[in-house]
Amino acid sequence: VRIERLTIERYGIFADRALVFRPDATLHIVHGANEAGKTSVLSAVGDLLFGFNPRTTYDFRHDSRTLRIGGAFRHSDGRTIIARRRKGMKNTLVDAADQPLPDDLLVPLLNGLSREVFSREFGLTAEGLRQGGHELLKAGGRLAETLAASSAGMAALSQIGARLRNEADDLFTPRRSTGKPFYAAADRRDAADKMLRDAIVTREALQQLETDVREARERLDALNAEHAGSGGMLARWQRTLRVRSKLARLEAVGAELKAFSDLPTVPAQSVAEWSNALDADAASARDIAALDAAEAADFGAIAALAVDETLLSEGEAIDALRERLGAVRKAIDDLPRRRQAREAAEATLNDAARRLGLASHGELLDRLPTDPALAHARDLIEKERRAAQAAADADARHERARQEHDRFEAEEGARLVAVDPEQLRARFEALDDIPAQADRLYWETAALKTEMDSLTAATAALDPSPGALDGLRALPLPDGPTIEAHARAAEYAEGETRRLADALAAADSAIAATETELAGLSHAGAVPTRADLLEARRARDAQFDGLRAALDADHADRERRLGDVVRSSHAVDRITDRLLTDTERAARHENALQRLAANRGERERAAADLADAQAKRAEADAAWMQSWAASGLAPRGPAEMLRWRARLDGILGRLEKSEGKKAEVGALAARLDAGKTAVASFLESVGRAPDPALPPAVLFREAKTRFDELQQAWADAKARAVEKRRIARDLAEAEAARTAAHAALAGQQKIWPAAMAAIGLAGEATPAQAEAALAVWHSVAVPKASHERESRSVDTIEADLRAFDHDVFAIVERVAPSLAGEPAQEALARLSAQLAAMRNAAASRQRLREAVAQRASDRKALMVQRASSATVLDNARRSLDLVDDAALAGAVERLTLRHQLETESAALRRDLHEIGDGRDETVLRQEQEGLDLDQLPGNIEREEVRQGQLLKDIADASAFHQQKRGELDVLLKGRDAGAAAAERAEANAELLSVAERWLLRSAASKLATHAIERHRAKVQDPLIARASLLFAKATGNAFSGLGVDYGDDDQPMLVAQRADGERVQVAGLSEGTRDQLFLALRLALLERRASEPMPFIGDDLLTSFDEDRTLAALRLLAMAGQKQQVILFTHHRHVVDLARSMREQAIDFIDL
Amino acid sequence: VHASEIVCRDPWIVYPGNLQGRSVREAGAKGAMRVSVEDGRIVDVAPIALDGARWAQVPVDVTGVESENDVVTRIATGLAGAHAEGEGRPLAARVTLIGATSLHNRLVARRELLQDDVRASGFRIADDCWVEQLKVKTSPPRSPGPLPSAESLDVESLLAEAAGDPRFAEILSELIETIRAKLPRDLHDDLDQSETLRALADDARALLAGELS
Repeated sequence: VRIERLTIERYGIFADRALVFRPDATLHIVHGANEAGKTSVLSAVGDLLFGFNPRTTYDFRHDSRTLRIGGAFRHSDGRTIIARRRKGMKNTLVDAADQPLPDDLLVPLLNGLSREVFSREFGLTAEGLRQGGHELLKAGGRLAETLAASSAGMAALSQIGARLRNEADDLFTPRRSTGKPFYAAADRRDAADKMLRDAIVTREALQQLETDVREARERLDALNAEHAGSGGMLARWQRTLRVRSKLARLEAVGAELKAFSDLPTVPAQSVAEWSNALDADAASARDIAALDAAEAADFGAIAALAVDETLLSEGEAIDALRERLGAVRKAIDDLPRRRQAREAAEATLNDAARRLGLASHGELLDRLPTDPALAHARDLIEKERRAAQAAADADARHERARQEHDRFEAEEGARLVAVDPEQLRARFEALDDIPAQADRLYWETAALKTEMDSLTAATAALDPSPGALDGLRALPLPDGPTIEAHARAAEYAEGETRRLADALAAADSAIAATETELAGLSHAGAVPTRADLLEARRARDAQFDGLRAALDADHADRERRLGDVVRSSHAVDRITDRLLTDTERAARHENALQRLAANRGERERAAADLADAQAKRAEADAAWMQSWAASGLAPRGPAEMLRWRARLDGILGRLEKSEGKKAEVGALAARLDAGKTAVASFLESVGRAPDPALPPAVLFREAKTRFDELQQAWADAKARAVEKRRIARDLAEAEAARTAAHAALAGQQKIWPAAMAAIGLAGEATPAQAEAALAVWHSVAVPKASHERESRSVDTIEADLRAFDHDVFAIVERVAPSLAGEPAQEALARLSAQLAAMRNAAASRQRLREAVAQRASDRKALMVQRASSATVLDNARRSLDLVDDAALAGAVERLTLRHQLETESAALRRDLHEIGDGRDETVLRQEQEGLDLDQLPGNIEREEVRQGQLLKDIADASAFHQQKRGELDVLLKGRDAGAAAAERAEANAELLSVAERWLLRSAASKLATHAIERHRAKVQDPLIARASLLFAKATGNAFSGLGVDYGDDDQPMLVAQRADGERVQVAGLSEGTRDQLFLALRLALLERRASEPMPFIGDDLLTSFDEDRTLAALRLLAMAGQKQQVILFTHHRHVVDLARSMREQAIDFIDL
Repeated sequence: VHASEIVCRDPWIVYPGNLQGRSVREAGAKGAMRVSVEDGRIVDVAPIALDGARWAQVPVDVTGVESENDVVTRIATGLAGAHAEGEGRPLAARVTLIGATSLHNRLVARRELLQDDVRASGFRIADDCWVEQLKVKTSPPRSPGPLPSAESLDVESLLAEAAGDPRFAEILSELIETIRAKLPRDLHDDLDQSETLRALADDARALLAGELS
């Protein structure tokens, strides 16, 4: 099918756009710049063929219900199908009047082709082309895959097949690999199998386990008993070691106590009390002696200290003066600086007084004006200055206006009065077309003359000559149709005469030829006829009858009759032979005779016709001459005179037109004359004397110049009148402004003297003087403040210093008259030093006195203590019946020692009880008997090692026992055979599932390969033959075509063949050549389709090609376009230009 | 003996069947038979459902369905019905798609993804509604007319031709033998009876066509 026309009525940006595809073109190139709607057109083709996409995006300009695209398609059987498509659910095909067309109208074109397949296989973009070339490379030249790669659908199939093969391999491979799900499931099944087998319980296994449990229990008990025995012995040995030393010490203490048996029994508390009283008494006696010595020393020190009480009483006043000393020193420092500042301020004020013409700063400060008075003066000065400036400006403006007025008045006097040209305008405009008329008259007169000259020449050139131009129209000539009728009759008669003469000559030559032929045939002898044969046969049959009758006759008769029969038979044979050989000659002879008769008849008819025709011709000639007799001309032949008449008619037509023109020129000249008179009168009326000899156009120009002058003068006069009014107005305004300014100035001057008096100036002072005084007054404020502040400071400081000196001297007089005469600061420093020394001495005396009091109280307490100790010691002596203190001390010491031994003995017994595990002394001594105490530690160590081993054995035995118990419990409960079986069933199901998934994927993958292989087998030979041609064309014959080689594994491989015969594998081709190969294969494949060929549509296919490749690809497309329609959309101008340079191709260019 | 059945009422011959279905082959309610006796005569035998979980076969007819979403919706409806029948028991269901539909190829190609979707929709019905497997036993709709056999670009018809080729049947046999050799012997029968094997050529073709579409 070919698209012949595409009408985009309403679609996307388009409205009523028609694209016409030339039917004889082999390649259509549709060019459109970006945004020209190339994509819309591509989409429109699809929508027209297959229906609108329900969610179309091309309704942004037109309402989606009004979208329409139409087209005309030519089927390869010659039918044309015209249809339009609207958007909708059904009846979307409509005719020109929007009436529904059958939905299956396009079925013969599409043949079941879907939109997807159409755009996939018949549409190709630059990207698709590149991708295709890449797929070819991936196919590695293997023919089946290469051919598959050239079809988009087959390429997809190939990719899906490969993917499914990978997926299948991930599930299962014949070689075992634990990572694959199949083998993982197999492992699970094996494990479950084993679990299931293990789940069977036997009686023997149960009995065996019960025995094991019992034996393990017995061994555990025996080990526990042994461990207990060893533990007891070890405890006794360790106890013996622990108590050994305590027992020995207890024995020694008992022996020592025996030495004190002479002492009476005294409670331990009394012994301690007596011993303490002895110690306290001795210590108190020592302390009292020390106190007495210290007291004597302190009294000595107090007597040595001298204290001045008067000085101490003035201590606070002296401290207060010292605190004021810092301020006094600073004041002494500051005073000169302050005095200097006060003098500087005074000098500045004196200077200001001088500038104002005053005697001193005192007078200045007295006469200082108030701030409002200064502000008023400043304001007044500004107003005065502005009023004076305004008055000066107004004077200047008035002067300018007056000068301008005077100048204008002077010029005005010299001017003439102007006239309004409006009344002349109508008259002048009536003359407007004179120049155009003059021009036209000139040109038309010249053209008329040229035409008349040309006509005269044309008339003279006629043969025969019809005479002068003037008499031409009166000539009585036969008209055109009459001449034409004569010409036709003459031509017919001429042709007829010639034809008849030819027929006569042909008949003569035919007769001559036939006669010659007849003569030739006769020379070859008499020709036998069929009648001769019949006669001979009849004679032979008579001979046979004679022979039959004579069969019974004698031999000689029979012999003779047989001889007759033989002869007549020979005669028949001879005639037959000659008839056979001469059949052709006889036929030709017969034929020649017939032709001769026919030719002769023909000749006679031709001769009669010729004579008739010649007679008619003579009559016609006479009539011809007769028709020209009236004009007196001698005519040539009718054909010639026909042309003569046509030329004469042309001249007559032009002559008529020229006559008309001549009349127009006359009228024009008359109008121009009238115009000239009007111009002359106009000129006179505006004061000019016209020269009547001048042509009208010149007069008109003069009139125009004069009229323009008048207009200009009038316009100037009107402008000056306006100017004059403006100047008068300006002058009046300037006058008024001047009066107002002077009034304002006078007002200012009235209040001026009062303001000047307020700032200390005379009433006649100028603004400049007032301003100078104002500046001085302003400068006074700062030094004035400074002078006042500094004067106050100096006075205050001097007073402070005097008060300080007075206070210091008063104290000196009271406490240290010796310092009188010293400067105040010096005297204060000395006083301070004396005061500090006196205060230290007083503090020391106070401390000593306090110590004396403290010691007296301590001594009193010690005396009380000694008295209480004497009471206790008296009691002790009485109890022990002793007389002196020295004996008491010895007795108390022995009592104390005995008491210590008794306490130790009790503590040892308590300890023994604790570490001997509660056993008493006697039992412990018995346990020691029979033991070698020196070897005991070694024995204990050995026994401890044995214990460790026993503990380990017990743990092992216990674990073993637990294990056996557990096993027995499991066996008694039974094994989980159900779970094992379920696990096995699950694993089986998983195995089957994986197997099925693998089978499906493998089968599909194999099916893809198989289909691709079948595809190759189906299309290989014719496809490669056609692709070969296209490829050679596409590479500009650098390659002569394609071939099939067989690889190492006998696989057919596609190879390209260079012009020099070299065979190149696909991988060895350059990228661009591979793209061309892909294009060639794709186009050849599309041609292989059995159903109706569809248009191939390339969408900017060649963008990545350089010029040579683009040209080659265009040639390829054009070549493919001889078998199927090829449409190339592009937005590259250079592709179009290259295509235009290929002159030999029938390429159709369409601009969007 | 795993199936519950009343073989005969006079005399009574009754199989109570399993207390619990063990696989999808033992679908439906499972339990015991209550036998009522009056005056020494059996007057009634009635099944009592005692199973803790239920297996179910859920056939879903998708004849004429044209969108995959509709398929999932129909399956969800079927599952919800099966779950309701279980009266709150956990449900394990095998969903089998049947009927002629234009989606056949896509369903074959996308069976595993669809199975995931269907499982998810099962869990939306209830936490204990589990889809054991999704089987696709649909068929393609009758094609409107014979395909033009010489059409070299029609991949589908090319696939159909290749699938019908005896040589392809040999390839399939080789594939089946390959995996059978690795399967445990006791599974050979299961494999031979598998639906997949019977429809292998058709499903392979449908899978490719589905992937291509």
